[in-house]
Amino acid sequence: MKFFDRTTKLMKRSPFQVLAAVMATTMTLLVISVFSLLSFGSIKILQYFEAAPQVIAFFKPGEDLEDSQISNIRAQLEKTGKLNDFRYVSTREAEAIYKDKNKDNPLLLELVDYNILPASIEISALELSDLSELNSILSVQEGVDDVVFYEDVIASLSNWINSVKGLGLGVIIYLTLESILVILVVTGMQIAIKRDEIEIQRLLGATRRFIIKPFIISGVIYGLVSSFIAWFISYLLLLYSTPFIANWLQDIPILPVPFLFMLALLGGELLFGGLIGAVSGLIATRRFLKE
Amino acid sequence: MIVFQQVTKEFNDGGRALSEVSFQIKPGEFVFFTGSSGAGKTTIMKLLRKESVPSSGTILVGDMDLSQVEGEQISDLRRDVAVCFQDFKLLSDRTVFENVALSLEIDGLEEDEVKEKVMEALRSVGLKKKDKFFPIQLSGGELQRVGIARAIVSKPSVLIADEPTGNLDPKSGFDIFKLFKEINLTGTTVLVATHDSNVVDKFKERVIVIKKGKVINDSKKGKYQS
Repeated sequence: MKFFDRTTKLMKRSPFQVLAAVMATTMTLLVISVFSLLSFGSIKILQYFEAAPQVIAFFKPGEDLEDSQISNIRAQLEKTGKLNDFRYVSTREAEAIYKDKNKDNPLLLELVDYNILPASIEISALELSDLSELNSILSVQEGVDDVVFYEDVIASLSNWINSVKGLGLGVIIYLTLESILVILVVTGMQIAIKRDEIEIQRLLGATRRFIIKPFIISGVIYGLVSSFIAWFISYLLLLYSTPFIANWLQDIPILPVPFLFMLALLGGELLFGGLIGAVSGLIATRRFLKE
Repeated sequence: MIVFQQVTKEFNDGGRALSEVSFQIKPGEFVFFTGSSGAGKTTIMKLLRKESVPSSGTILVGDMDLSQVEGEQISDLRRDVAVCFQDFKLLSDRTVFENVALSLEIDGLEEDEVKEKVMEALRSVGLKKKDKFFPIQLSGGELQRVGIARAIVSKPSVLIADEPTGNLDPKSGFDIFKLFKEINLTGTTVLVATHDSNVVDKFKERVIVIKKGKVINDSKKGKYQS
């Protein structure tokens, strides 16, 4: 506790430097929060698309396939060893799905019945790269009217997520370095302010550990306080924007973000913020407190 | 036991602060180091606490050969060989109590123990009632008493003082020397570097006279010589 007393005294003597350090570190950790949430959302969206049927072959409207024909197509696809999921949707099932989706619109329900809806085969592949081969088998089947192929959507999404991760990583590295430098300079200034006191402590026989501890603890405190502020702001932003995001994503079920994920994010940020503070404090004391 | 054996201290520019200085000081002794400015008194004090290292020779403090003392052992040495400064070196933004407590905080003592020992040290230097005062509220003599309390609070085996009365009037200076003598009577070895001939002559303690970096006289119950 004595060290915390010494640390709080140290911080009270230079409030503006402390504010600068906390603000810079908060900005870094806020960006980390935002990119973490973006990554979480992107991965969930990708998982949604990957879990959905990736190729859908529609047959002629109103015509159902014979069981033997379905088995034959399934056998051809399974033979490749690349099939993950296979589902046949009959015209009656298509009608039920249609009615369920449009149950609030009586006019649409009146206009459509199973005779004008196509039967379909929905498949997904083990790997995205296998979709082309499975698609080529499905496309040539007798009675196939149209094939919807999601490979491009998923590939684009993957590329977008990788770009976001790359950009995020770059920005985070830059801001982390900036935060370390700000805390380093602030700690250096605090050391300069306390130069006489440090000299007296040395003459009285203080160990190096005794002298540097308050500076390192203050660095860790900047990191921890900034982590909490950044997490809190990002959580508020998320809650505020949830209705807009939900409206934009429609059926993609990524909201609300689980509170457990937010707690894990807070834990990670506290760890990272504390680490930034400790590293900066250590560098500063090594740089400015030479024997 | 403090032993200086053929100790020489040369500076980078080739100048010599000490030349083959040798002496021994037994535990519990009171010794004055006298000599003109630049004679080498302060260098001896600094060497004793490893604030400086000799160019050659051996320095022993207790069972420590100072040439072998490194890192945290230097901190141990400085806590065992305490010091009072001519300019007091007190922290102006801390109370008398807090200044004295600093030594014990460095030792890692608990709060209750710190309080008890600090008050005991302040009582022994006659400042018990001024524990909440700030340095700016004290006279020169009182400031030096705070410095002495801070030095003795952790019960060092050696107390060294470099021109402790240099900034004080004769009356306050004499009182400070009386205080050193009282501390010495508790068994602490006391080494004082001073210009104050009156005090040295009055106290009739061992005097080591330094001139141009050499010991030119070492006598028990000696007189001041510059």
